[in-house]
Amino acid sequence: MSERDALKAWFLREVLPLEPALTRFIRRNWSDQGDVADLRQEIYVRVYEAACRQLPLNPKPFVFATARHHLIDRARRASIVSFDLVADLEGIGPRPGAAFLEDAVTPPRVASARQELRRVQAGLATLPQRCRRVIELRKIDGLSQKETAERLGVSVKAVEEHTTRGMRRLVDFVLGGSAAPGRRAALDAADEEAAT
Amino acid sequence: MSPNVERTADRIEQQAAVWLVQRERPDWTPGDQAALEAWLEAATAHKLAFWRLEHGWTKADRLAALRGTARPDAPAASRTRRPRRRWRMATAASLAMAAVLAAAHFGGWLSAGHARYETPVGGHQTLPLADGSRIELNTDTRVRAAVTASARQVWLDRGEAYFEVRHDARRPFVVWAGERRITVLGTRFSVRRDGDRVKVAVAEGRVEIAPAAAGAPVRAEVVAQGGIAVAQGASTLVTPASPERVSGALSWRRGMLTFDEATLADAAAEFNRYNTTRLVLGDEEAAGVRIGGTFEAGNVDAFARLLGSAYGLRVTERDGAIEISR
Repeated sequence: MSERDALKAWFLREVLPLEPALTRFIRRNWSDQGDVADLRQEIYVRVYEAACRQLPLNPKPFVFATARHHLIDRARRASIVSFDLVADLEGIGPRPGAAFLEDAVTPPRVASARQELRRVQAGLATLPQRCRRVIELRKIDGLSQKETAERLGVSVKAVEEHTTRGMRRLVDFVLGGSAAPGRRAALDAADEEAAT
Repeated sequence: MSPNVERTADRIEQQAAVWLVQRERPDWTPGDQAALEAWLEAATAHKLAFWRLEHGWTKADRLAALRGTARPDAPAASRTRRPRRRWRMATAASLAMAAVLAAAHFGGWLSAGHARYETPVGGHQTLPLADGSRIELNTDTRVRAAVTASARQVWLDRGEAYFEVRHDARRPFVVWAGERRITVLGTRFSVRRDGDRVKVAVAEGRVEIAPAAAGAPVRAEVVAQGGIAVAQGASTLVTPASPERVSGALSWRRGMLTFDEATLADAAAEFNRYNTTRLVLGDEEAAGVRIGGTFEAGNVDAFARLLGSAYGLRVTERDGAIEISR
């Protein structure tokens, strides 16, 4: 296994399962909810780049400590900043294992195949109809993009667009870290447009 | 927007999703792969967004477990749900169309109690099964599959299929092919059926070949890795292990046909499984010519040209057939 593959495996195994708790953490400690996805991305990047230098022995406290530092950095650099925010974050405590970690309680990391299936199914049910139909044909019936297009009587490009949109929504749902509550409504509107 | 928080996550995730979808295209080239690698290497955020989506999207493969089951909110059922505004404007005709689509989709499955899959001449399709096993269908093949909590069964009605069976000691995997029953726990092998003749090639592990009918006076045979068995009537011939021959027998998975000292008659019969343009042999002499090599299964024209140039045979095209003669 190359070093990159090893780091990738580490990231998927240790960091990604923290996504629901990390997302909640950011949401609770940041006023502009529209920033959540970007802040989470930046935190992931910081965590990964630190791991490239040295793998943290205890990933969970490391991820949340990084998140805390990052939010403080961001808040300090912002020209308009609530001092309360910085104070709150600093008050969270410098040590791993401090109060904020209660938020980091994650569901059992190894979900059974059945649980995972249920979760994907539940996510599927939240998708707009056309989008869901495309993903059902692709993932349940194992059709190719071309076959899906033929079955639904739409272009391959349309199938690809529905797949892209459905994939993002489904992954958000399955990983449990839907970053932007407002995004869903916007995407629904876009889907309705695309469906006509 | 807060200052200093760059709005890039949405754009990067969208790009990652587009890459993932494009990678599933059949015409994905090494050049495309290189472009994807370059994009991944350009920024840590690219890599992480791509891996995250890839990881979650793979989890969606669990949905394959639902294959063959009625879906509570498949299109036909959606009429009973409150339709979205746009859909309400859809004409009655298109709703009827959706119902017909769904009926065609489920027709034959529910009545038979299991899913049915077919490939046309020249077709090649991979099916993930609910248990994580995979079946790869060769040209002109029909299978039915039933995976339940207690058994995994596949009926090879015609044609040829390659099986990658996920190990599960509690649920043997059984392939029914004509008069034979092939049983495994976890392995990779192919089964080809020509009428009542059944050929099994084992790439990995061991399989048992037994008569399909209980009490039939035919002995069960075990075929080990690298072995090929041909069963017809009461006899089952197991050849000594030869990984090369198994690999040749499985070359169709790459869209290729491999011949080793095969007669032209046999080679033509092979090509005719994959193509609607028939290869016909004009005389006994041509039929007996021995050939070897690996050829593209779908490119019968190139094969015919080669016979003309390399073997000095006469190649005549007429009425959708190619005649080869001395």
